[in-house]
Amino acid sequence: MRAPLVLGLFAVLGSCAPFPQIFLRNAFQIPERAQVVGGRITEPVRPGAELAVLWVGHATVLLQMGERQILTDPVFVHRVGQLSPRLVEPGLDPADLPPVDACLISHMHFDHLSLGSLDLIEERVGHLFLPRGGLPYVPRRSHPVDTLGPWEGMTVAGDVRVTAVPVDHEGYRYGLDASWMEGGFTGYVVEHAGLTVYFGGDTAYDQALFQATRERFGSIDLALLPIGPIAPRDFMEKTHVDADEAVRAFLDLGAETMIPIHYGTFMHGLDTPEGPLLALREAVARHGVEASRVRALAIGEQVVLRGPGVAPGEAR
Amino acid sequence: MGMRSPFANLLRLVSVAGVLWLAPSDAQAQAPTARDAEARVSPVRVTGVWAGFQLLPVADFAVSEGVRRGGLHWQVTPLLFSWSRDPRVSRWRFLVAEPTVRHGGSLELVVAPGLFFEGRPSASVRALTRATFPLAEHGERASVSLGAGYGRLFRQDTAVVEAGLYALFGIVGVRAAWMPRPGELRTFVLSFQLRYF
Repeated sequence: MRAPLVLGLFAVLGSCAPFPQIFLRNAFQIPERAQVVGGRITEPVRPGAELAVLWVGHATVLLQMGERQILTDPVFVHRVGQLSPRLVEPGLDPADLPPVDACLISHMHFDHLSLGSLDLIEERVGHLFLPRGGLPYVPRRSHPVDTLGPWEGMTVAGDVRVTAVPVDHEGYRYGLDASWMEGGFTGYVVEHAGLTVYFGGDTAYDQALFQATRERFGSIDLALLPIGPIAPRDFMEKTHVDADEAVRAFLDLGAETMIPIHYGTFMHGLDTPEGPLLALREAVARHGVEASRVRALAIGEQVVLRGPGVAPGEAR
Repeated sequence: MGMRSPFANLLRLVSVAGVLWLAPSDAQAQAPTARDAEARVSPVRVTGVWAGFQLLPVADFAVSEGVRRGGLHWQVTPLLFSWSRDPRVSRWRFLVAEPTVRHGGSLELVVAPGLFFEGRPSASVRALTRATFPLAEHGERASVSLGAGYGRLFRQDTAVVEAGLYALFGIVGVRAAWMPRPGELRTFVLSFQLRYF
């Protein structure tokens, strides 16, 4: 069954040199069943926590800021783009997802905008945010949907400020639409109760953009930054930071804590699932960053960064 | 932002004219970032890929009163209305329709000229209205279509009633059409398509 699908996609992407190499290598290496996450959290709301983070996998993060819940790039399905299966099951069952005040979509790629996943959580989403240009890709929803251009912001749930911040990526979904999707990708900054969280989505390294974000928001408490895919580098560097660039982005942003995302869940490059994380450890040491400021989570792991009994710089 | 040659601009204009003509208002360019994403996409390549896929024929297999014939046809969508889109963006497409717009739920006019091989080629044509309904993941995973209209097959006018099943963003699909002709009511055409936009 997989072979005809491989050939079909190969035909579509045949003119784009790196894609067949990436796809064909991964299509036959990925196990049929995703790795099970043991002891998944079933009650993710942490009473009293001012800032808690649960990594669901890839770019999907459940962020608790006080009483508010924010979800990034929700992907709960077992296959993205119909063809790319998960290596590890979602770190949170969508049935256990609490009501989220803001759901953020960074761009239209299949591993970030999952229509099947949005259907699974539709009743729990209070407000969906898309980058400007993204609306044609999202079917009508039962909850409010808004698009934000660079530096545009909106307040939801009374006290959660969501601002789109510029990143450097691609906004198309199907390939050909790259011709008219000139925007359609973004990062976000979420502010609530004196805390500021940066979500990078997917981005290449652009120091000016990260520094501009720092100038706008001053103190950033947490940066969720992608660290993969890395290889083939000459192709990926146009759209994806590697671990070293992610650490540089973290420093450019002036954030206090970084949590790496966008690795180890799907195989969309030529690196190994653990490659980006190994590279991140080396990059952290190379840049002289305190190891405690870069907190890698396992899929399904939750950490409280601010809350009763948690001093700044600590986590539990 | 890189400058484009006039030739590249012309090609781009041709390839996406349909989308821009009735473009979703939300799909306008946002303020450029430090590196323009579009600059990475060659309009020549985009135009070539789009045109190439439009030229790719749909393979037909006709069965009529025990006679089997092979054929080909090409599909053009002059106009498409999608009922699944957010009401703030245009629901109309002209020639170029994104997979999610077509397979998420749409009604389109289809003109399909073609050939059947019965010794020497004979022209065929279908002009019909086709409705596409999503089955899974808003049609990106699976969708079905129903259509009806006029056809001309083996030098005779016919009615066309068809049903189709699609997968992988609608890229691959199979359709069965009933095209009854005077004296030959049991005429069926099975079609296999590979369609991208």
